[in-house]
Amino acid sequence: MSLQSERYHDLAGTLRTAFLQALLLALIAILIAAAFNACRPNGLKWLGQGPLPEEYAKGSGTFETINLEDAFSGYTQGTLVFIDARSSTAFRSGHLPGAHNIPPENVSSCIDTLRGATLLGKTPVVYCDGPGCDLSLRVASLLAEHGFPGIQILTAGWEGWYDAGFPIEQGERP
Amino acid sequence: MNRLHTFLPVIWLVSMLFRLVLGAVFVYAGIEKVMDPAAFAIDISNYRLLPGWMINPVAIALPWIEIFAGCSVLAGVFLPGGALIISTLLLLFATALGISLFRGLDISCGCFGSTAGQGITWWYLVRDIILFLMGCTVLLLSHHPHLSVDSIIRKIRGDSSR
Repeated sequence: MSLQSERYHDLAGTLRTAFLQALLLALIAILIAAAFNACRPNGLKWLGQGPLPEEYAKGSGTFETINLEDAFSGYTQGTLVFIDARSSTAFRSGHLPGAHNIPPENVSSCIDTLRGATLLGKTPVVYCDGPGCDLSLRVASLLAEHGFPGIQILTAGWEGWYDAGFPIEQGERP
Repeated sequence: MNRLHTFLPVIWLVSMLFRLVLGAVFVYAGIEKVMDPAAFAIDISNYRLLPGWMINPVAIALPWIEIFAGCSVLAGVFLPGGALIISTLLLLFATALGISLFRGLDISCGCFGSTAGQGITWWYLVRDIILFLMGCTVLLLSHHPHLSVDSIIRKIRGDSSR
């Protein structure tokens, strides 16, 4: 047998072994995963769909959620400070009145601004595009890490607010 | 041929280092995801690549597959199988990241299981490609693993058959 042909058979043999072993490893892992998921209190349903971010926020008990009506009422009474977790481009094209644009990567640099607002007794309300996005959850988590209490998440997001016909602002924050 | 033999120790050393890195990364990533399966399910759904019914099964099973593959590569038990799983997963992760970056999605990577933290960047894609190449190297050299449980068992069997 030539050296090249020997090497080819070596490689083919390794790949065949690898494939069989991978199947076995995956099978064992799936069985353990199923058993572990069945035993744990926060296990997922196998056939269900993954939870939406707001369901997760509610389920984890970490953050309060706020609906559109309460958010609008808070806006008119001036008791809320809105935090837009989307990109600056999305923010410029339209945002909730008086919102601060704080995507996850800018949280650290905006802490002082926010602390000023919350010291005035306003509740921080974080939002992103809508129910399917998780930016609000990410920003809320980071703010909580910086010691902000009582953060709420507007689950309907920008789309819900805009569709409801509530007032909006465009461009940079003044 | 003699020249190749000169480099063999270096090749095996590199392969072993790759095994340690890949194994540690996968075990750590798997454990982080197992801790909070709901958060990982959100991360998967944010990529908008899988149909809804597949999200929970993947969120439940994938972390354990990562842990098993990581342990396999670390210990050298079923090394070719572990290396194949890791390489395949990294290729899938890189593809998902590439598609999401191309589509301009601002989502959490989910690489280590948490919904908190930074969004995906091109660096994550580069990292996955580097890890994928490391996985392929380990797979191709896996028929001759050093310092692994497999090689120890083989040695004991060899000694006892004499």
